[in-house]
Amino acid sequence: MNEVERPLFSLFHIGNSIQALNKHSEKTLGISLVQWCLLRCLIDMPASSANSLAKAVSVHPSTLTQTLKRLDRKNFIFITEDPKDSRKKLISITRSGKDVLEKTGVNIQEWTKDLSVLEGDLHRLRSYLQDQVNKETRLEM
Amino acid sequence: MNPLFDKSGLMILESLSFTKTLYAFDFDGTLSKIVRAPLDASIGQSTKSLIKQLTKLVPVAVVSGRSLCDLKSRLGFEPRYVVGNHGLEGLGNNRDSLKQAIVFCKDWKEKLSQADFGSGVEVEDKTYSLAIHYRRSRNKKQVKEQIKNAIASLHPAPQLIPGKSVINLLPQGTPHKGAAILELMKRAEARYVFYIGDDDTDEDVFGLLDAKIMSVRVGEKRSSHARFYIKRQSEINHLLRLLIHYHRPTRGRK
Repeated sequence: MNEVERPLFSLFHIGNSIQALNKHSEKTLGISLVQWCLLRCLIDMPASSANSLAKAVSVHPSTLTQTLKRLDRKNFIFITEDPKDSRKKLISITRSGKDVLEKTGVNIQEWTKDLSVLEGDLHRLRSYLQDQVNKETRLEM
Repeated sequence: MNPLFDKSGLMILESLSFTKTLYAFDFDGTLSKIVRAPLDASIGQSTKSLIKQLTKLVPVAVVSGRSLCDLKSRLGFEPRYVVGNHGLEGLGNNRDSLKQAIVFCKDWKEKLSQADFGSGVEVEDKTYSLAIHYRRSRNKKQVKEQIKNAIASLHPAPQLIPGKSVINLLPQGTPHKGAAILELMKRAEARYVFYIGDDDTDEDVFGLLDAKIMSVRVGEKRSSHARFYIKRQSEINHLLRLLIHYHRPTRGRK
């Protein structure tokens, strides 16, 4: 492994660790970190469309589908047709969803409290990766 | 348009209680029943008692086409925000528009007083806007046409907001209920707005593209932009009871 490849492996390890924490969270708390973040957004965005929710968490709407299905099965959210446009869906958090968010909030905060010192670095890393994706997308076009 | 009191409507309504929501109500036909003479309109005792309870729990606004002074005298409770004249009065941020509106309304009123609409037509001077009521007229269709013809000769041409047996005249370009709601949302630092109204003037709120509004119409109407409806004004008490229930501190309000 040379100097240029090393950061790439670090990224790979970070990805794996996040997945492991996600699984651990789902196993012990009944809700993954990704699901927790979505519920947290939904608290302040009642009856929101999948598009607005995806925008709020900065992911593509199609990426959300599976997570939303899982949350729906757990009864933490409910999905209904938009009365203004039947092609669209509205997503809202349920009382059970709100309760699980409150119950697990302490644990999630405990796990992530030390991350606040890294926030600047994490933000820079995220911007860097996003720039790389944008550059590649431009080249493909 | 879906009924508010079905399963999904109620679940969305409950979810509003998890965040900071501003609850805004129209007056005539929503908090109060529609009556033949606008001067007789008032809020029923039970509705008044319920909305007083709600006001203690959450930020409440009343947004009406009535003049602010008239509206306040009919409420019998103190909501955090009261907006009159379709959004022109009560926000205190448009003094120049108000001065101009007084001049226009005086001029329009004088010209309209020369027209003969027959009995049952009343021109209400709301200082910054006019309302021509024809609810008590015998031939509403014909009188409406006569009123429209008389309005067409006014200069400068007013902005018209039709309502239930009433035509409202406002200066062009003045803020409407939709603009007032967005301003109130900012002032209340609310993340979401619940709005209920019954009239065409409320379409300015229902039609807002901002997704952070739960819009409810009193009475089902296919062409309305509101997402939900309650069947009739008398269901307002049921709605208020639900909101109070959802926001009771014992339910673990956020």
